[in-house]
Amino acid sequence: MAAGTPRVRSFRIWSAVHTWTSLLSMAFLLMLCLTGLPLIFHHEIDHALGYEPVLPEMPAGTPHLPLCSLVAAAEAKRPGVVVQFVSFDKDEPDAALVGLARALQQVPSDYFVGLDRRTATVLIEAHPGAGPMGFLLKLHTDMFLGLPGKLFLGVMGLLFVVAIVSGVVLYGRFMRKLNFATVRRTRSARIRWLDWHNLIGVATVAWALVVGATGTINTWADLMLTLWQRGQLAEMTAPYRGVPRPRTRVSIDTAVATAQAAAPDMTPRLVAFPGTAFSSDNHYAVFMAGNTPLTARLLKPALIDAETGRLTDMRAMPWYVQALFLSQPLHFGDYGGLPLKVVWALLDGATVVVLGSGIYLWIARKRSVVPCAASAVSGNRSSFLEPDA
Amino acid sequence: MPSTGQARRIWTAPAIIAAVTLGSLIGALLTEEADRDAIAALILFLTFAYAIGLGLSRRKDSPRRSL
Repeated sequence: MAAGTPRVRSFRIWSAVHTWTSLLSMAFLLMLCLTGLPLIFHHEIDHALGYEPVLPEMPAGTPHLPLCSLVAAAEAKRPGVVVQFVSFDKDEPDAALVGLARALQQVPSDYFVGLDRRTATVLIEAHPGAGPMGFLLKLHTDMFLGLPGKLFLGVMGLLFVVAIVSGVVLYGRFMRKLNFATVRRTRSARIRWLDWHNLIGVATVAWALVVGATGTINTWADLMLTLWQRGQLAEMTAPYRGVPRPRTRVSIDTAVATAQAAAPDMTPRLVAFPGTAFSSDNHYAVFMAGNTPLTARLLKPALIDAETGRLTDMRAMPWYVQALFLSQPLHFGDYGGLPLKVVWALLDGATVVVLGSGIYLWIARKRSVVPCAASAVSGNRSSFLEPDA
Repeated sequence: MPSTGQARRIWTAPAIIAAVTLGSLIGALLTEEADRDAIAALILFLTFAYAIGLGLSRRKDSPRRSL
């Protein structure tokens, strides 16, 4: 086939796309893979290091105390700060997490207090991002750079997705004369690694695409929540615009009971106090979740008038927020039991091998091209990915 | 353009692996029971292990080829 035909041109374009999208994102992807590996097991590691509440054994069915007593216990632990929210974990129904900060609107909170819902005992107190897993999560999500860091990693995620798609296109070209999973062991190290790169890459392609795409969506979380606050939340609280803050407010228990009555087949997952970023000055926002594995991940906010305890509005969140909620477990792989996490770690390790072999192929190809500069200049081989075997 | 037979030879195995992977990931997300979740993880593992096992066992002294 002569150089310059449409087929060769198309190959070179895809090869250049694959090379440069991979190279540009490589260092960050390696960092994401390496920090993501322990994060798969963050529950287990946090538990072992004492960063997760440990609930004492009590008789089954021990009743829960009113939520206001949990709030009071958390406030007593941190005088001078305000309660922003109370959240509940579907896997730990006897525990509650109270978020406190110096100001109601502040995001993120200054402290988290974990309490036993049966006794109002404080189980744990922590700052957001505390502990080794908190450090790794911060590095993994924004590299300690806040929103710009998140958005930058989102761009790296998009490059990763493009590298995967272009890699799939190139795979088809490479495998024309080879059977699936062929590794040419008698050939040079570069050819052997090219075959392994192709095989491991294609075997993990669906997983890598899911994790890459959902990771990119996760980097837009702050933007999506801002969009929701300015859109749907503003719409839901519009009738209260200009209304002064209530002088007295109903208890959190009343707000939760009202939301529960409005959605009896759902359970409260988070209660945002009036005046916080996720409610309004006049409302509690009770975020309800469904009871099936899928709907348990989708939140539905119920706005409760803080003065009267009356339900004022309840809507499903917009599609983009729902997509964000569904993408989170698919990215972190922590939605299943230990076997799934182990497989997730294995695939993460396989991605490191694909990335590492990609760098090796690029370096090895550059080395092999240098003595053949004349041939490269003549257009016979312009890409390190071009098959020469 | 590759022939239909050639395309089938190239893409059948990767397509099956991708379908099984996606099925396992979504199946594990939609299931509540831990044992079903473990089955999804096992299928995912076996699929990956099968591909790598083939790579380890399928040796070839291939002739030089050109694009």
